[in-house]
Amino acid sequence: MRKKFKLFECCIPVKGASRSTLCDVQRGKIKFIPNLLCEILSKYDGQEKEAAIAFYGPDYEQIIHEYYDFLVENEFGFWTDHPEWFPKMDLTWESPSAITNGIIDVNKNSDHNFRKIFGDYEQVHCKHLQLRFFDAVEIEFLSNNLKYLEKSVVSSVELILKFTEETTREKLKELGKEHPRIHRILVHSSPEFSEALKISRESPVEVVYFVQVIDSSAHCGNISMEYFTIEQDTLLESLSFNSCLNKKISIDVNGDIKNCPSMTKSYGNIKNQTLKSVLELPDFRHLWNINKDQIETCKVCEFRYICTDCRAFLESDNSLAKPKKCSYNPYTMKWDD
Amino acid sequence: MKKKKKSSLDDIRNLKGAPLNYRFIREVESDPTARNIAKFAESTFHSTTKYRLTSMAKPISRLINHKNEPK
Repeated sequence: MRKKFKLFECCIPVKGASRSTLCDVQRGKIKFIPNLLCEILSKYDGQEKEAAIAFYGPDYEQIIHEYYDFLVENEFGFWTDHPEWFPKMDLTWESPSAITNGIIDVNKNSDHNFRKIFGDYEQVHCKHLQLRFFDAVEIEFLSNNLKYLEKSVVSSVELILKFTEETTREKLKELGKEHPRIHRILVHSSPEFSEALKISRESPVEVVYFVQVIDSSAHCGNISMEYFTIEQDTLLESLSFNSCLNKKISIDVNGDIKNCPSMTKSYGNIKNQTLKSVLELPDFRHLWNINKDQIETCKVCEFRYICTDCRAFLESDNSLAKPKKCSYNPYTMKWDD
Repeated sequence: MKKKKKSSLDDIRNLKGAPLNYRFIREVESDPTARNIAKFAESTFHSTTKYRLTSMAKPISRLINHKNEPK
């Protein structure tokens, strides 16, 4: 009996306009593959190689042999007599949290009551928070407010700070030790670029210094290969939901509650509304369901399930338009910079 | 009372129909860094890395334009 070919379930083929990707979510890598191979994988997974050769004809026989050799050599799949022993992976995505992530923007005019805000995020079981400070902030002020998260369900905090005399690597490391929920600190407006050092017991937090000046939420929405995430949870969420806005709730510099701080639509102010009450507004969740398969250009992009979307800055007035800050063209396979 | 047998990597490898496990074992066996990470995660799980293991995988927002940063 001829053996059948089975793709590992952690290797997900994604077809694009001109080429495809094979997303290996276990190893966190992608490999570019021709569209023909992607087509073969979707049609003939769990079948004999000869079935594909019979369909495409003798002209393609040599190519198809090479394709299968490539898949086995790179451990994307294996031969088996019993493909039925390896059922398909469930591609649905679920989270027990009403909100998984949130952004809190702060500038010198902001008057946020962090105790109330963190309490609100707690109520909706938010797991990950990002605090973005566009102006200078004292480390002591930061540390005093982060104490409100000590017994919180929030499991990770990312800080974006403006460079000051205080934002030395030593001081930020100390802050990280004091508040173990801090996972990463990005320092903008820095005189020089400095990459993160390896996380260790002595330095438990990732600190990166950037030259770029970030003074408002208008800087957000960048799309580049550096922001790609090849990971199972992200990929499954992207298949069904918006990869940026799903289960996200944000507070802008004025305290306005929004899907994303860069958006204009506000659902009330944190001073007189709770995040939980905003979450119950049906309109608020509308953008959560816009996945990449609905968005112009993105729907034919081979990176669509590892990329994070942006609905705040669009190429046109169409709500399903391509993100404005994405310069990738899936037809030419080039980043037009 | 019978002593419970400790499972080894070989036991897992010998399981029928477990290519996913096989793939994982290959990864850890062939890559010393992966072995160290596994050891490190195990030894420090109850101390400093407790919270950091659960950080969000995808970027929450994307303010930094990497193209403008020197490499």
